[in-house]
Amino acid sequence: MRKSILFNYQALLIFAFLGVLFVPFSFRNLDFQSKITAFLFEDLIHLITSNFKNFLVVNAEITSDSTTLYILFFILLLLAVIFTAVLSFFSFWKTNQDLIFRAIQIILTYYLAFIMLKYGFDKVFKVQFYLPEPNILYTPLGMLDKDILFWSSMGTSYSYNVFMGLMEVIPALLLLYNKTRILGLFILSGVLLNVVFINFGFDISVKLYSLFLLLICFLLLAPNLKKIIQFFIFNKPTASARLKGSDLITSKTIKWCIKTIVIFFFFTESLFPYLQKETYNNETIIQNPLHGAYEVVKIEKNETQKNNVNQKIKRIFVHRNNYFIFQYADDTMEDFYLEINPIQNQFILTDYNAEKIKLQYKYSKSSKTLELYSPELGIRIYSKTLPWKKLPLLQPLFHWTVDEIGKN
Amino acid sequence: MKTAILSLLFFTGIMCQAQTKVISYKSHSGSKSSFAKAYRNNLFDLKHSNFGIVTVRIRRLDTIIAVNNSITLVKYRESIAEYNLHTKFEDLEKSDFIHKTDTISNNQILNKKNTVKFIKKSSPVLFDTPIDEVVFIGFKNN
Repeated sequence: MRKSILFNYQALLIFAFLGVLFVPFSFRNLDFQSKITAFLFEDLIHLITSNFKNFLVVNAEITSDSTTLYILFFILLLLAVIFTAVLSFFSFWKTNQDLIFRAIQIILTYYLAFIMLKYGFDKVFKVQFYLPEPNILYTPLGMLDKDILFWSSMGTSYSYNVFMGLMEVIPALLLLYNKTRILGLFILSGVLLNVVFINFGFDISVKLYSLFLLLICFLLLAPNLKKIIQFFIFNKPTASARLKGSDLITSKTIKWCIKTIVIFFFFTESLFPYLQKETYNNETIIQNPLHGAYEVVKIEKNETQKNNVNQKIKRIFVHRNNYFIFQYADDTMEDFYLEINPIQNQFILTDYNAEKIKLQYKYSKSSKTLELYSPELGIRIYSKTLPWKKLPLLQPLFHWTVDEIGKN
Repeated sequence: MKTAILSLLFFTGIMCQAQTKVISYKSHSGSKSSFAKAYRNNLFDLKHSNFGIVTVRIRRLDTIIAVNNSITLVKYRESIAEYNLHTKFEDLEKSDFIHKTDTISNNQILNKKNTVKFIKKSSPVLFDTPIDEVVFIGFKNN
């Protein structure tokens, strides 16, 4: 390998390794990662953003696709280049760098496997792309942004979610064994490329992190790239160089102990929560009984001090994550955080300015009506339940032939 | 209705959707106008959406009080915000919770007629709380 290429490759490997260490992902058993990252980098990030006014930072927290995450990646890249350059002057580094980079490659492989297992099981158990909320279902298609439309469309097909999840889980499992590692990486490169283009194409805010995962995948595949091209393009028999950890730890017992602990950790992080909660399909969880859509049939308004209430309410929605939403005649929506007090039959709505509105509610299961009354606003709203689960989008539609379509 | 709401709280894990902050916000809000405000202040459940990973509201059951043969009071703590799926009750501070009391009626298991032993055997975990940590008042002891 040419010196400049080797330098770039090593710098990128160190960058990826620093990313594994410091990009604050949510772990069950390693929840101190975000604290360490904040402790080490928060001040530096703040210094950069306060000196460059072009950076718009609305929230200082380092989260997916935040300005602060971009800056963190930039700092890590810079550090990686500096480390690679400086360390090359040390004789210890020169003699052991093969071993160190092999260890980094193995760590990156296991990290990638772990993240893909986590995302994969979230899809298999239908918690990532969830069933669209009633307020989304009653929003005219043209008024939805691409990202929420994509998310909602994905949420309507259980089988495709399971398939997509398995397409992440299976290659992730292949990464755990050195014999199948290259095949796993090869499949994952396709899967991740698709994820990256979905995130860019539909403006989903996991662009940077998905690019980071794709970079890790390519970095691990890179040493075999020539051989893969020889095999697929030139049809030449070739043996791929195995990416294995046995060179690092010679004792089989220690190797298997470490591997068992690591795999156990992976499954406690990615699968155990579902087994613990016995939740195998998030859609089957019983919803809040008031969760749903309501058609407004009548509004009564009394004279009060607050007369500036928009009375053109068309529908009301109760979101499963405790939001209360009004849909007006022009299809615009207004949402509030919802707290339900079932003893006092009261809704407490909080808006984005932290102002609260109290509504008394009366729900009749038999007549499927929801009545809301606010003495403060002097408004009484009568509504009836809408059969949102019977909307065409939520029907388990499948046809082997076009001839079946339209037949009852 | 109250029974239904309480049954929901009892027998399901409160698992929320895995989503990004933007998707989380857009799933309930048609307008983008308040996103910056919600994001700046980490309002409501936005704080715990991130890389598209699942969030939950953490609950801990404290006391179950049998008032009479049909009415049972349930006292529990519920986290104000949603957390990563893997967050444990022990990870949170006292101030992260609010105390709640709900009333359920005619519940087959949480009923004055039943013994504590029977209830514990029927529902070893309620609200993700090991049943032995729950205080029972007003139920038969044997």
